[in-house]
Amino acid sequence: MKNRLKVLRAERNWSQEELGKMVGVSRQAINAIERGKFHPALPLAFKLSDVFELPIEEIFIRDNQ
Amino acid sequence: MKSQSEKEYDSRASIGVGASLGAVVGALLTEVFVESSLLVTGGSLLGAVLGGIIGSRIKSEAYQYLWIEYSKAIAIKLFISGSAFVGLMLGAVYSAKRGVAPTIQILLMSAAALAFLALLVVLGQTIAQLDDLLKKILLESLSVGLGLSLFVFMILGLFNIVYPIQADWLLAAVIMMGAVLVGRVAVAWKYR
Repeated sequence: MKNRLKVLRAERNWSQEELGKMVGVSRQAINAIERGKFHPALPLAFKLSDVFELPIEEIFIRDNQ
Repeated sequence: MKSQSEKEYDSRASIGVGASLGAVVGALLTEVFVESSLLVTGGSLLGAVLGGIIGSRIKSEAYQYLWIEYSKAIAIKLFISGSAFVGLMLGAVYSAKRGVAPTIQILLMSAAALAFLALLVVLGQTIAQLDDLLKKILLESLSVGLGLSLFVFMILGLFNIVYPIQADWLLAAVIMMGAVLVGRVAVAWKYR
């Protein structure tokens, strides 16, 4: 699974720490998600979706797409 | 980009952390294995020097793989319960080695055990506050630490058949803590 977290965050000029605070996780968690080392559970994916005001499938993309 | 003064501060902090940890480990190890107060002081100083040298070689960026940001309240609780446990444990070991009255020894050891229980409760509260990734890192560290400890104990057990080793439960605890720390670094590196 890929994600567009880094691009979306950069577009909004948010730091990893700021985004982490918005969704209630650590900077390390945001960093690991961006690098594809950690896949978030659904509650966090929904929070990210709310923060970016985008549907989940526009943030997280399946490998075969 | 870090300024020169920030780099110097990082370097001093690394040396300070390394020297402090080295002094504690040096004092603890010499206190456990030898009787002389002079050697304990020497062990502490040697630990401080070695810890300082190792600390000076570690770049501050390396800490991000180990560092977990806790809330201030939890950090204070962790510090107090951790310090109480280490202090009481050292006191208990010291009293046992110096032949203090058995009642005081038992009181100190019971207090150290209670302090460790308090530390476990605070650790439990800490884990509950962590996010999914940090919980995963912590649990994987414990798994690696347990496996590594079993491996070390197995090797020591095999050696013990051929050459009896003078070891006690405190050494087992130190080995397990070291193994969990190794696991912590390895797992945090994996998710860096």
